[in-house]
Amino acid sequence: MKNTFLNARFSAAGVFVAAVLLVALSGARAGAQQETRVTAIRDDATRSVVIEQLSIAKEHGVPIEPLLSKALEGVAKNASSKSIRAAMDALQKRLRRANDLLAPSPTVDELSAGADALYVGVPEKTLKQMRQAAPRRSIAVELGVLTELVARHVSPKKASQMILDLMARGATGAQLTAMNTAVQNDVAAGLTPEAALDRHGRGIMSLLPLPPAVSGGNVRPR
Amino acid sequence: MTARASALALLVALNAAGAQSTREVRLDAGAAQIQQTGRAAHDVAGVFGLTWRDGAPLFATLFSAAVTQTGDSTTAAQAGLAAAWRATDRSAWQTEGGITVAAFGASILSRGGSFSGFLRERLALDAGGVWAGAAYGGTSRDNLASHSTALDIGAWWRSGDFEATASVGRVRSEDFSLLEAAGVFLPNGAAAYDLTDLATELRYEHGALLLDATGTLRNGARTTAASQSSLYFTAVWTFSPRYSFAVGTGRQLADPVRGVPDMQITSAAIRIALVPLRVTGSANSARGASFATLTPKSSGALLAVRIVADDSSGVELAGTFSDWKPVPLTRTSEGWEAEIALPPGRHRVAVRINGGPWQAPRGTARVRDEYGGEAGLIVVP
Repeated sequence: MKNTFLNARFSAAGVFVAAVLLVALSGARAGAQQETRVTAIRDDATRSVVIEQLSIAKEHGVPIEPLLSKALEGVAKNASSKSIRAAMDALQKRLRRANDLLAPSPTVDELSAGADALYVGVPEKTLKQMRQAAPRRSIAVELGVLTELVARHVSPKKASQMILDLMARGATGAQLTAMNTAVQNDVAAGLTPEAALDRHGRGIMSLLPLPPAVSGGNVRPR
Repeated sequence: MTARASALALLVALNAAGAQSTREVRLDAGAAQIQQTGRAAHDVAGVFGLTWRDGAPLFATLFSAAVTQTGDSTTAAQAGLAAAWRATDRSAWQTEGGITVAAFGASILSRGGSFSGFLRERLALDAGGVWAGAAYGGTSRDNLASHSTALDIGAWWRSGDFEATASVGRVRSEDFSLLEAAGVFLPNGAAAYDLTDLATELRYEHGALLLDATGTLRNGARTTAASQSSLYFTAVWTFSPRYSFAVGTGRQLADPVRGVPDMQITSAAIRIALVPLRVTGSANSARGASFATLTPKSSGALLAVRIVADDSSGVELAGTFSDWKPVPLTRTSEGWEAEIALPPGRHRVAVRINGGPWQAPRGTARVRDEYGGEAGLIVVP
């Protein structure tokens, strides 16, 4: 009996140690990969700017990946080191702001999506409301779809309201992206973006149950 | 007589120009059988048209020229230049204007020329819109000059693959020879014809097929005695980016503004894109010729990018999926293609042609990229 108990404890400890090692290794591996990507930047001035900006980000606890991606986009587009510095700096500020708005514990994907949303003009209030609507799950897809809608020239206010309404009704990420695709197709066919959003947003809404306050708590499980 | 056929070629060119949205140069070559109202003979005509079009989002231009040649040595040449302008790409208002000039000659019938111009304001509302416009035309036929004016208001509505259009127009014309030949008469002493046209059009466009039916009811107003109707059907099949086949049949009522007579016409034409959807590296034209589609998979999605560019082009795709390392597209018979498996998440992509500026492929949500260019956004659930 005792041996069984000890064996169980040892195996649990083993699993824990292995998990810690795995996380540490994967973190180290990701860090090494990021370093490789930075050192692959040929232009010395640009590489210095990127290293400097990533160091600042680390100091402030800002995620590295979106910043590195932004820098590499600039490198691919032959942007000057000055432009890359400005773009990384601006993104870092948006990431920090998104971190505040999506508190308490946003994921890197959420922060990146929130920063993009702020960039296209989504109101800060919307990010807060979206977090309140879904405090315990990732809203990266919702933020991404909202960003796309605004980029397609739906007014930020209208797009925000539609996404919030759909979230309140329990729309899934797949439903939102399907709506986004349908809006894009209608816009390509000549519909105004807002009319297209109305049409497809209401269409999805009609398939969803009423929010708890209206339906008496009969919300379809996600 | 032959001016009508050249007008048909211009009409076909204008219709096709509206269906696409980037730069191209195209040749139409075909044959038409024409019977002018009040004339027993059927004429067979060769119709040749050249169209140049640049469909920039804010300022679009179209130039079209056509020549018609019939067996009895009757010839006609017509050229048109039209432009559409709007202040911003979000503006619901669009101003259109254009001019056409035509010259026609015949060994027996009439000879002369015509000039016309139009101005139209469009307001786009949701899936449709309304317009109001005015046109003026002058015709000289056998040294007799006449003038015509027209006002029209109309509306269009689009639903799925269908588009319906209706308009009411009022025409005032002094072109006696043209309208009398069309069976429209004035009492003695009247100075000008007054006509009211009610026109409807139903258009269906799906994939490579375009079908169009246009009907017009014409009635005389004031002292003008007229009651006429016409129906005209068009079908265009685009079987490759370079080639289309267009057929049309029906009656077209006289157009006194452009000096085109009333006629029954059946035509067939092959359309050859000499420069199909040409991509020159400018942002607008490249966006017009690149297409991105996303197909959901069990995990992630398949991004397919297709770009129509000429043979000498090198086309690349880059994005967050490749750490912004350019991925060359594969050359196919109809352009350039790439298929990329995207994992769930948010992605940014861009394409470039011949090392030109990076642009968001059409079909993606476009954002400025902080580097003076743009990127397309994609969300994969």
